[in-house]
Amino acid sequence: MIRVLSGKQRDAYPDLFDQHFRLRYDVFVKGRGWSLPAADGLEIDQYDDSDAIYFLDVSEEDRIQGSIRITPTVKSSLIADYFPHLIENGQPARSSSIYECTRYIVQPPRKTRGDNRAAKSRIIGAMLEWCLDHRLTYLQTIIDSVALPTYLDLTAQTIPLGLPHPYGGGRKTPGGGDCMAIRWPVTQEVLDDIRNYGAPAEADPLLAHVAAAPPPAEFVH
Amino acid sequence: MVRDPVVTELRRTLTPFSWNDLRSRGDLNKSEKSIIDEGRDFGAKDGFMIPIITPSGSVALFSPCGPEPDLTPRARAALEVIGMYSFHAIKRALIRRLRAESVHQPLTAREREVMQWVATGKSDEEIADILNLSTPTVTWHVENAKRKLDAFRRTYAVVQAIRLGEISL
Repeated sequence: MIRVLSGKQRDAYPDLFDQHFRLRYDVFVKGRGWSLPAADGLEIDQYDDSDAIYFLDVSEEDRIQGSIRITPTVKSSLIADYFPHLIENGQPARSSSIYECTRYIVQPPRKTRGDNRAAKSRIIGAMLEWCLDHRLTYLQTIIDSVALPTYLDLTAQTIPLGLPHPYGGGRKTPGGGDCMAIRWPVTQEVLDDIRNYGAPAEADPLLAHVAAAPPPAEFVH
Repeated sequence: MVRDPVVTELRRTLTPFSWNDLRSRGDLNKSEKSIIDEGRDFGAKDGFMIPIITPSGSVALFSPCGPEPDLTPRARAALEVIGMYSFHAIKRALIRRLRAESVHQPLTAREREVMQWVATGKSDEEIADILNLSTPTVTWHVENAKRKLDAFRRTYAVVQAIRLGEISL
């Protein structure tokens, strides 16, 4: 089930947040080798303040199997503060109706293609739904550019904000690659796309034609 | 046998590269160099190979080329994005077409059974023998199936039947 919590509730749910920050440490600091502030095995940065909203996919055994964080862009954002070069035209967004999505993790217990799609659809759908309820206009995020086809699969309305640029030493360096900024309009249409993405494979004739292949590595950050 | 150095490189890496990248590496032999240069006959002196890892895990390829293509870093980055959006658009168009085509008149159980045997290459006489029917009856089932699958030839009927999920190999 998807729990939605705000940064203001960190003291009210200490175990859940602890688990969340430890999972982020495992995935991003240990797993991806990113240099992020990480004291005591907890990955917490300056955007984890009272304005942050967290979507946590919590299993029946209270295990977090997926999470995303969204933060307002009005005062600061990852793109405005560290990656303004990813915006090709104009300035990075600073708007009360645009939020930024970061620290996306999807780890369903069974890693079949069906479960993966369902888990992604569930958490991203919950996030879009919250944004729709709160009358936001756009959700922006930075992705590894090689993963663009995966995001286009979620919704064709994945809008590029600029060209890919190298990070972490570029593609020839282990742990590096190219990244780009994208955004999604917050609309019912996009939400429907995301819900359809999680629908079973029989609904998609092209999927049925594709030979069963192991799911590709998740590109998350 | 001479191997196309572009294909060799594609087996080695999923990072985009240009023909000139390969040429300037200096490790191509004479026949490999001449294969890349064959592009000149078609007005292409340089080209850019962009592997696209599809969500299903297979690899698609977008390969623009031309007489004097702009392959500066910015252009390469833009081409890669264009390639990924184009691949996605084509995939969606294919899905739409598949969905439209799968709306067809379904085969009866007998027609499916007969077509399954046609797919293995059996003649109508052989199928009649296997299924304990008369040969004209088998032919009649095949003709009905062809009509429903909108196929002029039985070989095409087999292809359609497989694509539409009526029979399998």
